[in-house]
Formats: sequence, structure tokens, C-alpha cells
Amino acid sequence: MSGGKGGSKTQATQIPDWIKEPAQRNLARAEDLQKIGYMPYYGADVVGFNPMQQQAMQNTVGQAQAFGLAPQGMNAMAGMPQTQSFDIGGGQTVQGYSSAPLYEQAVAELQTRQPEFAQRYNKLYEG
Amino acid sequence: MAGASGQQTAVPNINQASAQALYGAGMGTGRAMGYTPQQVQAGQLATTNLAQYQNPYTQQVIDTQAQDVLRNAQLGLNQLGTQAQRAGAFGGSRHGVAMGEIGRGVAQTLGQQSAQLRSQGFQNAQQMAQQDIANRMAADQFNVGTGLQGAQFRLGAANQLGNLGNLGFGIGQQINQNMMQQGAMQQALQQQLVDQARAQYQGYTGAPQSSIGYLSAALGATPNVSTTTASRQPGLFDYLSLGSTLGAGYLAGR
Repeated sequence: MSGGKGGSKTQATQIPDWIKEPAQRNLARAEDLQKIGYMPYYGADVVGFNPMQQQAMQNTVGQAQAFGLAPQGMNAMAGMPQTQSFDIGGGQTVQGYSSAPLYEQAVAELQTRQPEFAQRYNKLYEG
Repeated sequence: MAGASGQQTAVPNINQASAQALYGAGMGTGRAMGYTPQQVQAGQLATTNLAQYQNPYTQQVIDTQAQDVLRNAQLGLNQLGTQAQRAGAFGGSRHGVAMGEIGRGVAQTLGQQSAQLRSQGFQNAQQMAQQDIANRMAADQFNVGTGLQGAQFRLGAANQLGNLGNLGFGIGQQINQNMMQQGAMQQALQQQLVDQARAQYQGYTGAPQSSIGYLSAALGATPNVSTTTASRQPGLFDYLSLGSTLGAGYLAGR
């Protein structure tokens, strides 16, 4: 503070010695983390229809076929992607879908359509 | 009939069948609304030709009876002649009167019998004609009744056809709703998968920006300790105040 009438004061901020080294390590860790790119989830995202649901849907198709509302031979699950088996241990699996292939496809599409942006992006994580 | 996939369906579409049923029901109901019962007209005896009911052998019966009467009359005349001959009065006035009596009786008998037979024939013809009129009336009334029953039957059938059409539409609609609901479930599942992929993609593209937070957080975690050092620089007013104070003390000491 300074004043023409009453003089002035000065203030200084100091980091205590005991925190300096941990703080430096923390900053270094943060910089290391910044160099790690996005890590997608490759597990199951959406559970598929179970056999009972699939049978119910096929029964509805059967009703529609009986009354001429659907072509003969129509499969209720036609147009649905094939489920994957995800191991949940003990020899058990979950039938479902992972969004990882769609995600990878989107990233590849980005690199194809916007190669300059993709290159800049990738450079962030080099070295 | 082609379905959504272009495949041929083996059974008729229930919506079309229902529409046809409702159309048929409407047509049937319309016809029933226009139903006109058969007209019945009572027969009249006065306008009925009774000749067709007459006994065609009436004249023969009359003739036969007349022959019998005449034969008997001839026998009577013969007897009368014999009696008159025995009495020596044959050809006399009494014989003539007696023969006239027989002739009058014969004529009367013939007339009565003929009239009676013709009257009976006429009454019989009337009865038969009335019976025919009654029979025709009963038959006409029966036909009117059965015609009305037939119209009611057709109206009931049209009503049933309409109900079947409604039932069919209901079934078709229910199946359609079920298929739509199931399709929506399948679409939602796939949409969920796409949403998850988009979220991952946003995580990918936003990763550099998000990583800034690491360093910011590390910097924010470092405690800042502020210390204040009192280093005062006197100003003009301070000097004036000091001079004033010193001057007042000097004057007081003197």
C-alpha cells in the first residue's frame, strides 16, 4: 500500500519449504497424465435381448403372419446386430454389445476426413 | 400381397378382410333398411268366379233324378189307367184330373229337386271358394312372415359381419402396436449403443481439454502462505506532524 500522506506497505507470498517438493512432484505427475491419451471402454455397453424377449417378438411376427400382416419367413430379430458374449467369470457370459467398434469407426472417420486436426491431436501425445 | 420386405404373404391381410367385412355389413344393413314387406290383399267372394267350384256333374245328377221321377210317374200313370179301365172310367174326366194331379206332382218334384241340387251346389261352391280365399290369405301371411324373418336374419348376419370386421381391425391394430412396440425396443437398444459410442467419441475429442484440469488441480493443491512485512515509508504529512509536535514541546519548555 502506498500513500502520499501515510507512506506505504509491501506484501510477499512465500511457499513453505515443506510443501515445495510434494507440489513439484504433483505438477510433474499432472504433466505426465496430460501425455496419456483417451482410454476408451471396450467392455459391454448394452445388454442384448434375452431368449424370452426374442421368442415373444417372434410370436408377434407369427401372429402378424397368420393375419397377413407380415411376410412368411420373417425373422423378428432381422436387422438387429449380432450380440457378443462377454465373460463374467465362472463360465458365464453376458450377451450384449460394445460401443467400442462404433467409437473406433468414428475416430478412423475423423482421421480420414480431418487428417490435419487428427495429426495435431496425435502430436499432443507424442513423446 | 407384398409385405414390408417384398415377400409374398400366403394369407389375406386382415385389415383388407375387415374392410371388406365392414363394407359387406354396410351393404347388407342398407338393403335391410330398404326392406318392404310383401303386400297382402284379401280375396273377395264377390269377385271370385264360382263356376270353377261348381260340380260339373250337377246336371247329370238332376237328369238322373228326373228320369227316376218320370219313371215313377209313368208307373203311377199306368196304375191309374189300369184302375180307371177297371172302373170303366178310363179317359173320363176324373181320369184326366187324376192324371193331371200326377203330372203336377211330377213337375213340382222335378222343380224342387233341381232347385235343391243347384242350391246345394252353389253353397258348396261358395264354401270352397271361401276356403281357397282363406288358404291364400294364410299362405300370403306366412310368406310375409318368412320374408320378414329372412330380412331380420340377413340384418343379423350383416351385424355379425360388422362385428367380425371390427374384431379383425382390433386384432390387426393390436398386432401392429405390438410390432411397433417391439421395433421401438430394438431401435432404442441400437440408439443406446450409438449414444454410448458418441459419448466415447466426445471423451476422445475432449481429452486434451480435460487434461488441462490435471495441471490446474495440481497447482490448486499447492498451499500459498502470505506474509506481510511492515516496512513503512514516512510521507509529507508525517513530517509536518512531527514538526508540529516538536515545536509545541519547545514552546512549552520555555
